[in-house]
Amino acid sequence: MNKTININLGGIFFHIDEEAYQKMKRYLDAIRRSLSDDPQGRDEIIADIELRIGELLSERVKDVRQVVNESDIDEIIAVMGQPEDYMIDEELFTDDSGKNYSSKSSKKKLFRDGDDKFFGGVASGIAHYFNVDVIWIRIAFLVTVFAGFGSGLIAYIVLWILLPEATTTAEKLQMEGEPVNISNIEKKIKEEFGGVSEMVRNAAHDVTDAVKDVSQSFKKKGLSKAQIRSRNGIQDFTNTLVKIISSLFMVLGKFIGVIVIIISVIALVALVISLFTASTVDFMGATSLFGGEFLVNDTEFSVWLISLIIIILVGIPLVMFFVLGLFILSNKTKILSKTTKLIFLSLWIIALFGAIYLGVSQGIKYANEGTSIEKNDIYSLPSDTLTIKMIDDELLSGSTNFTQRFSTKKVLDTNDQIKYYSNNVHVDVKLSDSAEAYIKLYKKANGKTHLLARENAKKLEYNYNVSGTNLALNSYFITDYKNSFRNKNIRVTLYVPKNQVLYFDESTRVFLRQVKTVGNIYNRDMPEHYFKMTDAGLECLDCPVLKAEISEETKEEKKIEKDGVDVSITKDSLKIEFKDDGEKAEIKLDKNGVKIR
Amino acid sequence: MKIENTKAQMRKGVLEFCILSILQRGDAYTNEILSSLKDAKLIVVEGTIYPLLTRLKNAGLLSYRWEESKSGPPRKYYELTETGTLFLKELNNTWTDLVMAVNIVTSNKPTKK
Repeated sequence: MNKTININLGGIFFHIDEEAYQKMKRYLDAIRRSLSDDPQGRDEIIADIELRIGELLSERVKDVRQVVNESDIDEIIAVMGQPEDYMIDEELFTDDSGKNYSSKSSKKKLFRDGDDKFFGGVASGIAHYFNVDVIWIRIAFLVTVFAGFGSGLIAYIVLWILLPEATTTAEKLQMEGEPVNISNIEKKIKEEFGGVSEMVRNAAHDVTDAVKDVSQSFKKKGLSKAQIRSRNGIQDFTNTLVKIISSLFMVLGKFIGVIVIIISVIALVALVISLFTASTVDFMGATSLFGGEFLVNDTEFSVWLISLIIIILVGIPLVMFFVLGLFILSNKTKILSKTTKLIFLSLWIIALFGAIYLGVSQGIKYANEGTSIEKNDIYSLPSDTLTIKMIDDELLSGSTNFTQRFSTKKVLDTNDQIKYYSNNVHVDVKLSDSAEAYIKLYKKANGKTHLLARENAKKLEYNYNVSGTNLALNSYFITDYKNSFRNKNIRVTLYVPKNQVLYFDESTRVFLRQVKTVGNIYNRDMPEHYFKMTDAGLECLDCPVLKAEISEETKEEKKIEKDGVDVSITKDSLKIEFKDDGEKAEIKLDKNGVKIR
Repeated sequence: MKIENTKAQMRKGVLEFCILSILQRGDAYTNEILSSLKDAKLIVVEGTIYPLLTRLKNAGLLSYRWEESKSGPPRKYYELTETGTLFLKELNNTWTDLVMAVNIVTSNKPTKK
């Protein structure tokens, strides 16, 4: 029982059974392909051919109810000729007689070569396509794997998935770029048959050798028939074992396929959502989402472009993994059409170059560091104590405390200009080499060249002011929005003459950095104390030297070194060492009592 | 070099000439041209003729018209155009020359030896 289909051939109506219909369709498609050189004439020729087929069929079909079957189609094909018969004509009558005869039918196609492979035959397939020795392609792959951060590996896997393996003789000929015609196919088959027969011969040889060995060992050891049977039994057993293991691997493979699909889908969804959010947020200008600088894009490229590149660069391999998963599950070789694959591949390569360009241009932008130094004298130095304070601009920072470090924001200044605000400011105090006090500002920025970097550094706006006994330093600097915030900082170094007394305000706590003090006082402990400038750095005048250390909680050993006296305190002992010109004295206090040496 | 290929090439070379000659006798539809050629054993399969006819028509050597038929679908009747007639004359001369030349060469072959 067969389904029938109604068709219209050259204006005549036919009942045709399904298999015959498929055959006829294939035949007409093949003709269409062989006439593909001339798309205009092709349709006309096909129409003529259909008309003729209709005529021939109507001669065969006497009754309207009669169904056209496969044998009818076979006869018609015999009368009309094979698709090649149409094609040869085409070549004979092309106007361009100088055209290479073989060029038309020998269009090369990219396949994987299963006959010459290490992994998937990708390299040898490419080598066939470009007509070079396969070793060069393999070397290129290796180089890109090691020097190109594994990009070669990804490319290989992608190609492995995308490229079909040349399995039929026609495909193999296409791969090697030889025209697919009868004589070439014959040649190829003979070649392959030669290989196979050699293999068979070798195998036969091996088998006879093995049989000889066995029979010899029989003679020597006199194995009984029971032992032969047991050997066969073992063979059966191993065969079954192999079958079981292979089916296990099949199941495992399907499982891996499912996992690959799930992971790739999740990753794809996450990727799309995150980048879509990023682009949308950027588009709406709400860059200060969640209180901080959520998105800071200081490149000259827009967020959507970067998102697009990331989507393509990461998404396409993910899609490929998804397809790979499907492939593992269904074993369907054609999930993506070749055009799609090629488009994906080219998009991916474009995105890769885009990403490389972005990366390099960003890298160059910050390649060099530049510092600009400004020196300013402070004339009205107070005779007693100079109080050092940090001041912030509440309008800009939006907060009044000085605890948050390294915050960078986009802000509006008093002139309603968009600026970058940064509090990456360090404060240091050093001994002045003269009787005058002065301030040095080290402004640091990066740029394409040293000169540009220095230019960028000069653009950082920083202020301080001296009034009475107060030195008020800005806790921030601002710079143009265009002049991005990356890697910029300001180091404020205050030089004061010897014996000058300083008081650090609480606000300076987080800004003091690498201040040299007598007794190495932790910089963050310095505020709210008085210091005097000495040759060895700042000397604390009112610091509680031992107060903190003798608490019960002190578990670790604490050491204080001062003027040749070493004091070390642990939870249950106190040791004081006096050193004076090579002489040593020691007092030790612990649960054993007091020792004096 | 296959003998079958060479034979096919020789036959196909003169096909164009033969089609034009058939049409010189009078207008004909595809089937008539086909049967003439098949009777003369110039073609084996019918498919060969269709691209050829379209080419000749596109080159302006032939034109066609549709004619109703009693037994089946409408038929495509081909006729020779003026350029086609001139073309055929040229081909006729060439053919005569060629036949003579080939005759001379092939018949002289044994005497030369």
